[in-house]
Amino acid sequence: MLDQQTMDIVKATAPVLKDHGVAITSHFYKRMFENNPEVRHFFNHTNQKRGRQPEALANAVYAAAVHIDRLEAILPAIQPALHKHKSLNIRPEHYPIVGENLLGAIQDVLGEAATPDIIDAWAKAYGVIADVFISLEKQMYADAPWIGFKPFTVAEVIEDTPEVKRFHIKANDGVVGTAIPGQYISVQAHIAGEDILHHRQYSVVETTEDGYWIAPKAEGLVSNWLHEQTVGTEIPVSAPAGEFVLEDTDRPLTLVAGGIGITPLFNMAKTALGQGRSVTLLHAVRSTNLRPLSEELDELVNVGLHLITHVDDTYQVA
Amino acid sequence: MSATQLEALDVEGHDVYTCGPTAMMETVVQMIPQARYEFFGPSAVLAKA
Repeated sequence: MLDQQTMDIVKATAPVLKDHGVAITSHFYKRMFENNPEVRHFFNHTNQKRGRQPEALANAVYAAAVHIDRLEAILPAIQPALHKHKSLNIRPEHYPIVGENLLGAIQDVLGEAATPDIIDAWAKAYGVIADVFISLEKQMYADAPWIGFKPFTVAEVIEDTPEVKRFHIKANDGVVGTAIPGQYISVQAHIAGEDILHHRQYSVVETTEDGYWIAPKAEGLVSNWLHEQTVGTEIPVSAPAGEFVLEDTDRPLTLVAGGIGITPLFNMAKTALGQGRSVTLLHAVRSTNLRPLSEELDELVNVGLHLITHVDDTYQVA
Repeated sequence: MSATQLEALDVEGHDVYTCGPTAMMETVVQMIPQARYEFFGPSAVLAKA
């Protein structure tokens, strides 16, 4: 529990962090990757280059500062981060690394404006915020079918469209947990010529008895690497995670997908139809021959899916 | 995906989920506020935070 003076300082300095948020977090990542290269592999370096991660972190830090006296208010907002952390096997020992470098970055960017009192208050606040994350993640790990990455093997590869391949990956020990429709798994990629491991998340199209179907689109470093993998390749995979999941209700379901965004929604549609729910799916694609999971969707139409395919060849990936 | 198509969807009383590239999905979420969404990339975190 933070004392009132600490909370007052943190809340009073929140606007400053908002103004300098991206500068601070951009410097934070640079500093952390230099000081602690062992954590580089946890981060999506494509998003780093595009500035997405510094922006996301700046937003999260600001939100935490504003709500420092009632952190429960940010619990819904941090759910995606908690699940991503679980999927990447972020552990309690990683939090001090982030804290030290974040405080250092605040000090570096704000200069003399970051007085010892302000840095001290932020150090205390970070400790409280980190404890919230660590506590919630501890429970998530306790509930997981396995912790961290374990070996899977590519059992089947299907050319789905010119851009998408479907992979059936099976756990080497035969043990998997059912992915709630909408959840993803993380794939760990050892890419030749890269000095770090890379991780990417792929929605589970379907859980099988001993594995998962995923359907990556060939874009980006890891997905392109994945497309080169063949039957028999061993790939480390983490347990299903993600809070974007199908709620267990009996209400009619409407799904709206853009391109490869169909993957989590396909799992939702198939599951909901199996439960007797009414399901409508609007799927926007650039052309019919680029519609992922086309045959599988047509099969769902045969069991009651109301499918609307919208073709727009002017569509560009954002 | 046009606004007309989204307007044509009868989503009253429905659970609505949407997933896809950020620019496209922003339109969906604006027109169907109850939609739960998953943008590609960390924009979802930004939008929810």
